[in-house]
Amino acid sequence: MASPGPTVLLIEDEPQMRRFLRASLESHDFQLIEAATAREGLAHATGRNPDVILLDLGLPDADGIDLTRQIREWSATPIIVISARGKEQDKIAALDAGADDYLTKPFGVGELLARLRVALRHAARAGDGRDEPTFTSGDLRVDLANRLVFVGDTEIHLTPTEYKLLTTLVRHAGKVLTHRMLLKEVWGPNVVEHTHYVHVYMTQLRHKVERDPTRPRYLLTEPGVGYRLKEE
Amino acid sequence: MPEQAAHAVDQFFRKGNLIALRELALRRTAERVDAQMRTYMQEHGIHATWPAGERLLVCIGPNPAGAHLVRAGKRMATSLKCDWIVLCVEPPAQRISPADRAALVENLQMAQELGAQTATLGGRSVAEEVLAYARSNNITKIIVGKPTHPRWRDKLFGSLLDHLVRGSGDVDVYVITGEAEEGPVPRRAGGGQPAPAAEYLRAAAVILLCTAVNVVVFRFLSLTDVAMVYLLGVGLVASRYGRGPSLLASFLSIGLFDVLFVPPRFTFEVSDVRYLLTFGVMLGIALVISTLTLRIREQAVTARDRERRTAALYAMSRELAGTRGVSELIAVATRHLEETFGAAVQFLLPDANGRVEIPVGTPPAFPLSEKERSVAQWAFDHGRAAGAGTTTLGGAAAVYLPLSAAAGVIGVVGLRLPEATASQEPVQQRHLETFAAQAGLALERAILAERAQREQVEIEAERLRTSLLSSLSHDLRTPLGAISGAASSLLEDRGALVEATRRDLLSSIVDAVQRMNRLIGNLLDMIRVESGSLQVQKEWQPLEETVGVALIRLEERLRSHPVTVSLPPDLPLVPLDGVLIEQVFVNLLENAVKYTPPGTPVEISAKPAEGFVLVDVADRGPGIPAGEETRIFDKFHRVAGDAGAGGIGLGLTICRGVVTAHGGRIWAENRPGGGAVFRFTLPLEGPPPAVPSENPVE
Repeated sequence: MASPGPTVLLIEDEPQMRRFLRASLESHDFQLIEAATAREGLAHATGRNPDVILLDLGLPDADGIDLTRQIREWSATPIIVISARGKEQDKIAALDAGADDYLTKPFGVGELLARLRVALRHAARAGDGRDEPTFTSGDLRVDLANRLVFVGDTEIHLTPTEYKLLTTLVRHAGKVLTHRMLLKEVWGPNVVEHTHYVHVYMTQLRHKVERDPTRPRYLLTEPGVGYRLKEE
Repeated sequence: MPEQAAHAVDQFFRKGNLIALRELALRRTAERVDAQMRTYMQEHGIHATWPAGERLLVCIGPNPAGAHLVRAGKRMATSLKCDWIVLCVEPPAQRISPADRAALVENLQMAQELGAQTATLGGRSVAEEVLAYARSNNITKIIVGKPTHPRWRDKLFGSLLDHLVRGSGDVDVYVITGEAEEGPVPRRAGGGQPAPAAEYLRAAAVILLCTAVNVVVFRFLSLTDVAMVYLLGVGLVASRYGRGPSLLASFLSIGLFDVLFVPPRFTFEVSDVRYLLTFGVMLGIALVISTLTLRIREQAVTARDRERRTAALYAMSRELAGTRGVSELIAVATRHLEETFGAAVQFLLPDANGRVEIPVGTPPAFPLSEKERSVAQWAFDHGRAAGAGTTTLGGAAAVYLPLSAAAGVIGVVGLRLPEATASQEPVQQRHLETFAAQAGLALERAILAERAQREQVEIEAERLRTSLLSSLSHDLRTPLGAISGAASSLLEDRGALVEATRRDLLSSIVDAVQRMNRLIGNLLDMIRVESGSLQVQKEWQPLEETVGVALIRLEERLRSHPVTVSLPPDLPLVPLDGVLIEQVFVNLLENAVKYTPPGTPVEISAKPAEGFVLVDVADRGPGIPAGEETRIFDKFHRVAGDAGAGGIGLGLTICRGVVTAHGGRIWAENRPGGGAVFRFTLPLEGPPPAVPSENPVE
């Protein structure tokens, strides 16, 4: 027998969703703790020490964003929130409150597993305390040690801001970063309202990195929320 | 029961009662037929009198004798069992003394209480007014009072009675005597309003001037000429000023003429009797001229007054005709009534329970106590004026007039006139009623229009509901059927299905679910657009990114159609809600995929213009059928014969909602060379915000 897989705490009030997630996750060697309410979820988060938390924002007994904030007060366990389309403000609020990523209903198993893996890997890396010296995704290669960027064999010249933006995304590769987070990381905490900075520099970056900037392969837009660097 | 029946036979079904009942029934029938006949006559423009049923007209004037006439009319109407009308033809207002006016109002009120209709007409020719009214109302009998003035007045000024009798044609004219109780008709207060002192002074000055002239010219002229000069002076005064100054002028000139010029001079003695005649003529001329002048002036005032009111009424009608909407109409009518009558004006409209209320959102023009409210309610319920100055509930602070329209009373207008007595003037009361009638008709028109519009909206909503239901039941059931079928096949599978079939079934489930998800997404967007809860969160961002998101989202479905994107490098940032505009692109691209054959290209382009960015999504499909360019944006509208294309006809409606919410415009055109182009604008709202620049390094 292989060692037991990572533990997922699922906080979700809809039995249908729980049933689907239970079937999908258990068949992929995840161990599942189920909670139907926020209270129950909070108890399990403290008592059972899960590796990752899947949290539905539409719980009947509490605001999912508050719950995220509560968990973040004492735990760094990755939190992935589940929300519906059209609730971009909720997603941003959850991410700013400390959630690591989100899934938009309805989602497929592939998407769910990818998000879980990213979250678990980031948690593990944070525990190690060190970054990989190079990042590769498809043709894109970022040599963090030597501050070099390649697409295929061609070296790409970036401005300092473009480079900083790219490396911020690389550090959180696979995870969504809100406009606010990017602004804070790249431009500092005083300009977090100037969302258009991110849009403009992201466009510049795409024109240098992407083969077709209107169909980006690496620098993906999360509409209304932020950006995500595709990880492979 | 039998006992009660027996009791009824004894007590109720008596001959007398039965006859009375029969009479009641017959009378009711006669009244109805009469009303129908009058309508018929009006419709067919018949002016002669049809003496089919009796209708009585009682003419009263501004004097106490009217009370007797009213009672006589009542008696006659009762014996004839006919309708009766009390008519007051009012001469110009100044000539009626307050006492007469009070009597007139009292008589009209009494007539109403006795069951008569009342009417007031203005005008100088009493006889003609009365006859015109009688003909237009199918009157068969006219009652007038016996004249009490001396016969010579009729000879001089013409007799009302004579005019009436001669002009009455087939109408009977009854002359009723005034009874002793009334006594002689009081004389009119002489000369109307008293002339101001200045007029007396001027009159005296004119005569003194004449005297001065006479003193100078006396030595060249005869006494007759001197008298003529005085006569001229008296004539002048009489033509300019009232009766008082005229009399003063004539007495003054007589006196001065006598003392200064008539021998023996400087005494009041008169040597020759013929001078007395001269004095008499001077006095007479002064009286005649001043009376005539006064009458002309009165007529002028009356005419001006009527002219002013007519102009005011016309101004209101014209403005009302050009106004739409109940609240706007009320505002216009309120303003005009306030200006014309100097009153505080409050319109009251009935609520669902028939209680008149101040229209929502307007402050009351004057305090509306429970008592005032009940007066207004009475006016509304009975369709008759009530409140201050009327016969009903006269203690109220304001007068309330029903707003009568074709379909009945639609509301009440309350006027608090500056002085409580003002509305007692019958002419004023009639003016008020005319204004109220005008306002009522205009209001009814607006209310009907609003109701029609509401009904139209409801019909439209009903139609939408129906088509939404049919769309939903079809478009949701189809994928549900696919899911259910595929899933149950898989569930029933005992290993009979080959792997390829299993995968096929599974992917059909996934496809159907995605289709349903899109559909529900569209419906939810539609609801947001429709309910006005669409919140646009604009951020300055490049269009390229939004296009990119849409292209990635539709990657699978766009495989059959090559999409080219051409955005000029100088395209500025655009303030837009990324999520919503992405949906616009998604819907336009999905449409292109649905309606154009596979392999045909789709082109997305944008260009900056003055104050906005113009975006095109163009295809090379069959284009838009002629005449459908606008209708395709309507809800649930599907181009004829596209039943197979799927979708419920919401995509373009959502696009329009989103673009409109951004302050832009969306439309469709056919392209030269074939295909359709959907174009929309996004306003720029000023220069894009600055972005810190940097020098390229590394």
